Order: sequence, then structure tokens, then C-alpha cells
Amino acid sequence: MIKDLMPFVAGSYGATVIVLGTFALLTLLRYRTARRLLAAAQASRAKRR
Amino acid sequence: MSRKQRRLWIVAACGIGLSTGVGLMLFAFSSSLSYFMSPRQVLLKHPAPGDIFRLGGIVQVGTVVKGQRDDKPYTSFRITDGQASIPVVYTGILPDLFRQGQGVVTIGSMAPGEHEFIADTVLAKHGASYMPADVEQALKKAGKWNPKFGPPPNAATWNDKTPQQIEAENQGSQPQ
Amino acid sequence: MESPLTQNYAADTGIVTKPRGAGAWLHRYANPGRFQRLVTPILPWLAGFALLVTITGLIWGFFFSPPDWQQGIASRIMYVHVPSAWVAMNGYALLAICSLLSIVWRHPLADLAAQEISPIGAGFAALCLITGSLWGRPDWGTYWVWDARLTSVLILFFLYLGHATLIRAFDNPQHGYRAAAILGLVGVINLPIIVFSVYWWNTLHQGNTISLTGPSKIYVTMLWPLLVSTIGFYATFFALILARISSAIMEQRTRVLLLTSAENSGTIALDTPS
Repeated sequence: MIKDLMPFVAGSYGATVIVLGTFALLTLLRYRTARRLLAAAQASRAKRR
Repeated sequence: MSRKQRRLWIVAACGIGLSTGVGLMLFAFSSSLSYFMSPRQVLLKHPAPGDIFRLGGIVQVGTVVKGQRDDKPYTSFRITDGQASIPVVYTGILPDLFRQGQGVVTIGSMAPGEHEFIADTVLAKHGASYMPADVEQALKKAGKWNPKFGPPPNAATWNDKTPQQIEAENQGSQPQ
Repeated sequence: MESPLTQNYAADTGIVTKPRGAGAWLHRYANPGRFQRLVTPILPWLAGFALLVTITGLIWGFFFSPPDWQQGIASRIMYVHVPSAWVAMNGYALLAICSLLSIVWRHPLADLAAQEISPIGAGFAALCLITGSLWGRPDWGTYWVWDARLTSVLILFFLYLGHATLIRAFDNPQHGYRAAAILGLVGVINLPIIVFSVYWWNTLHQGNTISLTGPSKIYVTMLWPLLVSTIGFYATFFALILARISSAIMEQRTRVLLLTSAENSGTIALDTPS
């Protein structure tokens, strides 16, 4: 008989926050890097023309 | 036929072939894909004493007995599927959701000689319905449901009513 | 200056899609440039909406949802377990559609989408398994059993992982796209097995609570947070997928630009703004 259910509930919500938070952070970083590098590549090409 | 159409037909043909194959396979292995046997299946198959298998069903109302055997506390009850029932003896801690009228899966084997199932593990099965505690109290007070005798009444009768409404309906229909 | 994201993809890369025949309507949306113009403005809004609704759903579920009469507060795990299961399954359906578009119509956007869906889908499937396991311990008395429902969801998780690995496993990305698309289509057979496993075989896992036919077997005050959290999880899934596809397109364009400038000048030059 398990009396204290809190660790299981908190663990589930904690796992959710960790998984979704990690995905969100990695995606945001990747998006901003991709955007910055593309802008740089286009700028360097425009300069060369 | 264009290449795209040809590829579409190939995919469709593969899909039909694959799903037929998988379907037949699942049908063939149906008995081993089931997690537990019902009491009726057990009585038909007669597993040899000592063979470990899983027996599942509903804990029959009024059969739960707690006692001592060889100085160890045990619980005995009958598992039923509505058609047959098998007595089960279990020594150990029962899960939270274990109660009369509740679904349960037990792991163990038949005792030698006796028509009794010795369970090493008892797992509780959860029903598909979710009901707050106060709604359950109201249904019980209104005499519409006794959890001992199985699953809650049709969800449409309670899933959008407040506990007060459920109790008020009772006063209208059957005055005490 | 015009945003670099909304400029013409074809002019940058020299890749032009040529719509012809009956599949022309498909090619309308096959153009990564059009995708960028469509998605870039809505992405911040979608991401904000996803964050807001998901957090609302989680707080509602964790603090304010009523405890179940027999499970107590363990029923609160439902608000993360059920939405992640739904998203993982429908995410796979989306992956299968992308695979079909890739195999039959060689839709270039579908390949990118498939590549970005599978890691996220694996995350949601893993979340479903973790929360389910934490729910099973207090309710059933065990973290894991090999019943048909749990096993088929574990297979879904491995299908996602396999797809994510396979699509990145080849030097020539086109080979990866073909192989992964076949895996994606074959794996779709697992979806009906997950859904109907609880009816076809005896399982420890219970049947479905929400059905399109017949009443939901859940009380309204528990249904609402479930609904909010489900919308939040779906919005999060789509925001992540769209942002990742958009990033992949930009990465591809950057590569093409660097390659053409390297061919022109003989060196790869990249001015990073400071």
C-alpha cells in the first residue's frame, strides 16, 4: 500500500517539464543560430556582388 | 501510368499485403498476446499445478477473507468473469485499488491437487472511468451506485452533474 | 532590408519545383520558400500560445484538478500521460503521411518534416512511457508489465528512434529519406494495434475513457484540464516541428550559399555579425 502519492505525481510533471523544456530550449537555440548564419551567408554574398 | 501512379500502386499493394500478414499473425498468436487468462479459460485449459500463469477477472463480491495461515497473514478471494470463478490465495501486500468488484490480475500457479490458485503477485486493474470523490459520495448517498457491485452507472448520468444535483434528483424520485 | 527568411528560395539555391500533371496542387506546398513565408510570421504566436496553454494545463492538472475517488491524487498524472500518448500516436500518423508524400511524390518538404518529427515524437512517446510507469506503480502495483498496450507503445518509441537514426544514417541524404520513409510506412501498422490492443486482448491497461461514440467516462471537472493540457501539448508539438523544419530549411540554404560562394572564390568565407 502506497500512502504518499506525491512523489509519483511530482515525478510525472517533473519529467514533462524537463522533456518539453529541453526540446523548447534546443529548438529555440537551433532556430536562432540557423537564422543568424543564413543572414551572415546572404550578407557575405551580397558584399561580393 | 506515370511513375508517381506506379509508386502509389506499389505502396498500396505492399500496405494491403503487410496488414493482411500482420493481421493473420496477431490472430494466430492471439492467446499469447493476452496478458492474462480468465477463470473460464483456466477451467477449459486445466494448467498443470506449478505452471506459472496469469489469472485475471473481477474480485467476486463477498468472497474476500483475511486470515492467518502458518503465522502468515493471507488474503483469499474468488476471481470471476461472470461465467466461472476460481478461489485465489495470496500472501502479501495488496495494491491500493484492490477491492470487491474491482478488476484484478494475479500471477501464480494452481495448487497441487486442489482447485485453488496460489498468487505470488496481485495487480489491480483500473476501470476506464474517472470520478471525483465527492461525486462518488453523492452517487452512493443517492443509492445509484455501490462500488462493491461493479463499475459506476452509465457515465452520461453523472459526468456533468454537480454532487448537489445528484442528491437532489434522489430526493425527488425516492423519498425517504 | 527585407528579412532574409522571406527572400526567394529558388533564387538563392537554384532549386525550382516544377508543378505538372495532377499532382500540381501538392507541389504548391512542396516549396520550402513558400513554407518559410507562411510559417515565419505565425511561429512566434504559435510558440507563445503553446507555452501559455501548456503551462495553464499543467498548473490546472497538478494543483486544481479533483482527486479521483479511488486513485486519490495519482489521477493527476492523467493530464500529462494521456496528452503525450495522443500526441505521440498522431505524430506518428503525421510521420506516415510525410513518408507517403516522400515515396510517391518525392515531396522535398515531406522529407524535412519527417526528419524533424521523429526525434520530437520519440520524446513524447518516452514521456508517455515514463508517466505511465509512475502511474502504474501506485495504481496497479507495478511499474511495468508486458501487456499488449504497454508493449505496442514501447514499439512506437523504438519506431521513432529507428526512423530518427535511419534518416541520418546515409552520406547521401536522399538514400536516408527513402529508407526512413519505408520504415515510417511499415510502422503505421502499429497505430491500430495500440488503439485496439485493449479490446482485442486481455490487458492490464484499461480501455479508452474518451470515445467519439458514447459518453466520456470522466467527470467534467476532470475533462476540462485534460482538454486544455491536450491542446497545449498539440500546440507545443506543432510549434517545435515547424520551428525545426524552418531551421532545417535555413541550414540548407546557408549550406548552398556557402558552397556556391566557395565555388566562385575558391574559399569558404563567412562574415559573422558581431
